[in-house]
Amino acid sequence: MSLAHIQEAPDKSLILLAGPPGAGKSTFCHQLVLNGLAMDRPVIFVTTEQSPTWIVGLLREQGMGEPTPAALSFVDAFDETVGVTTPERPDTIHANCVDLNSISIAVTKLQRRTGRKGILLVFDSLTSPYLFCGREIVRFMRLFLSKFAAEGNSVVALVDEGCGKEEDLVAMMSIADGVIKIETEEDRQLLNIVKHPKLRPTRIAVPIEPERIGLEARIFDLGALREYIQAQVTGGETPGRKEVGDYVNFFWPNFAHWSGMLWDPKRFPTMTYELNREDAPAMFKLAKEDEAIKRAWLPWRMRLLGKFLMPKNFSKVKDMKKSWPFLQQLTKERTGIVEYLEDVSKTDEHYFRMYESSDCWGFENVGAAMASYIPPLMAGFCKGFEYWKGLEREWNAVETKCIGLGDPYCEFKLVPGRIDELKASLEKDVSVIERIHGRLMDHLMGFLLHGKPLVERPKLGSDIYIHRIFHAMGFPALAGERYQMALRMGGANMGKEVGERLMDAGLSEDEAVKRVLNLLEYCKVGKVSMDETIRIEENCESSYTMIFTTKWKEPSCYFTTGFLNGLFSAVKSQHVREIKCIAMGDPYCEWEIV
Amino acid sequence: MPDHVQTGISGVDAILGGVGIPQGHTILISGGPGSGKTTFAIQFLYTGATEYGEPGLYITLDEEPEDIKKNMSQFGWDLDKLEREKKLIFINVSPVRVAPTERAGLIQLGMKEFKLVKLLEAVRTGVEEIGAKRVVIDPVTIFMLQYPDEIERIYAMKDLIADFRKNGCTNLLISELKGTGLEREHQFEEYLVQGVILLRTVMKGDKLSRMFQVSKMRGLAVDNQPRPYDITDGGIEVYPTLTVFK
Repeated sequence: MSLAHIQEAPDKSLILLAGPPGAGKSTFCHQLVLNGLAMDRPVIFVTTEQSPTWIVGLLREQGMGEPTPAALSFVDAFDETVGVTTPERPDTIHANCVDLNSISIAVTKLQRRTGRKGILLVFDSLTSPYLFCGREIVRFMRLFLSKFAAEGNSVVALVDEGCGKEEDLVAMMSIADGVIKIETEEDRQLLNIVKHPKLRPTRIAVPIEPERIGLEARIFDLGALREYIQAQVTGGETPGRKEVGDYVNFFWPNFAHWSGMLWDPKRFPTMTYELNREDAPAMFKLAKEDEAIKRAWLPWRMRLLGKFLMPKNFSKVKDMKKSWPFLQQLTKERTGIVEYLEDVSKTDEHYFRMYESSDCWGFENVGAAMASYIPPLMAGFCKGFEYWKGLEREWNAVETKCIGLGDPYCEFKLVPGRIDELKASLEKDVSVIERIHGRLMDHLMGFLLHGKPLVERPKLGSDIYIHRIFHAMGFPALAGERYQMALRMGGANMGKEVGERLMDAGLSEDEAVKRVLNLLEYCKVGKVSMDETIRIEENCESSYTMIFTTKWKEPSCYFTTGFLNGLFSAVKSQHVREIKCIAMGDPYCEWEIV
Repeated sequence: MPDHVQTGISGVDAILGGVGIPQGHTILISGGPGSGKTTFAIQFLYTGATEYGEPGLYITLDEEPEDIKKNMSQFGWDLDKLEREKKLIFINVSPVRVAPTERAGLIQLGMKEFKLVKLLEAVRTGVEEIGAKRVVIDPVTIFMLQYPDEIERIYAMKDLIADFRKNGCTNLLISELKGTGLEREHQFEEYLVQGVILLRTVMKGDKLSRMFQVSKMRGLAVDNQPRPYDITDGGIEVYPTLTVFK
């Protein structure tokens, strides 16, 4: 049993989360909220110890994005109880801890407003009302919370241990369908499942500071890394993709990227840019420090090339011209056809032109520069190679012309140091985002309903080398939960919309699912099959993470899982959960349908 | 003719056996100050007129109709419009109005019979004029105060209710509830009417908590547990499935 199982609130149950103050109950609970949102469950959050604004801030830190008031709403029993006044929020109804009736009324109002079933009600925490109302809280649990859960919802209520009478806590625990005790012990958190409607009583220990998997030498499977680099540089077979092959339809990584962007429009673009830019420098740094990595990541041919052909720095035009092997590689990977514009470039200001850019193709005239991957990759390449040669400085790149802006090709400006217009170029306003979303949906529905091909470039076709997947979906490993959430939530939203549109078009449930699974095969995501479960062999999202040795303890196909989950919730009112994952060492990725 | 009159107030009909008040009954609405008695009564007439095609008559003995209309506009109810469409009529029979300059108070000895007659006449006029099916007297307390002798008071009330039975309307009598909270004395009106609805308020700390209770409804199996209610932007909302917590 993994932490993911515990962090999922079971249906029709009231779970009591008990523990001493500061044991991490609220944090645990926030994870439940995020999981609930990712599963497209409406969430009602009763807060008695913090204001909704504060909680939203914390959830955003963990990658929540911008849920609608129908998806996440609050009963604020904090502000009024302590007597502070805060500006009205459209997603909040006030109540107070002194009067339990005000809380039950507020929850009922939000429940009506949501108008949906399967609500996740989080109550953080029962301690405050207990202090005001005493034992009446036990009646409240029985006659309101327990009843609310029994009507087809999930309730998770927190309570502080050691505050109040022992017998009251025992009474609360006896009413709850499940009890999880949380304790801390030195550097780890102990989750003690005392009783649970779905899980067996057990104890599990979780490290308090989950280790951020940075780009470190020890996380690589050097063999897999070497195989992968060989495949990339000399055209060998990509590990883990023996049957499906080395290419995917570039619609898929773009779809994942823009789903994440739609979920978290404020921060996602900058996050992606920075990750892509830091990728190459981080690898060069590792290669410098670690001989084994150097040999795996930089085969001797590359090292030789670097030593004799690469300049000490890329400031001058004549030196930048030497980056041609890199540009050639981009073309070879079918990212686009790139050329260096040496006539318009000058020292410390370089221009490149790219035809048929995979980042931007299909987004003609959406009103924004669309390149998300190529500019930061180029900046990272310059920084990385300079570092290899002993110079430490920043590089940045911005797209100056783009198919998305109505130009016939894309152009990039590459400079050492800062670029002022970069931020504005990365962030997209609401109308642009809507157009991007519309374009994605047009392509998808054209394919799913009318059998039209997704995207096709005149020279380079619709495929792109699997390397691109890593930069669209492989980053959770490096960037942590914020990126994971954006992919998951974005995927879930898109999956839901796709499902709804297929249903609106009059397709049967089974036909809708079948067509979407066909789409995955068509995009060469992997080998897809479905009976009791859904199985994807050689799934590009996780095949790629194989080059890391540290087998993930958790399934980590964030986008695929979110997308399938959204689809199933819209089409069949079911959910999916990833139970096997290539990234965990399983032979394929598998989702059970619940 | 339907057997029951739906109040149309959120949650109330569910408590009234899912059907509403038995048609032709006289019901006492009893509540403390600020409990929403007038709101309840106006909402009863408003939904009657707008949703069930039953015109309403509102007899006020206390507040000016203009003040009531103004107060009720916060819920989005355009009472003037209903009046113009002859779906609602306000009649002011306030005793103070009879002698506005006198400082003798509300009780005017020797005028009792006239008051009862006047009140009944007002009801009759209203019913005839717009074919009212729902009648509210707000508050009946003022009318009763004119009979200092308890026996006389009971007879006056009996006469009023007897006359009401003839008109075929469903009537709400509004009265002040003596004592707040859970402890209270039963008032004699409660024995005479066919139904009693209590709107009670309890102070919880510095907040008001409200409960709605049908304590009597002849001829109908009702839920007589207290249930929480709230006065919202759209009027009174009762939560028939929620339990009241102390």
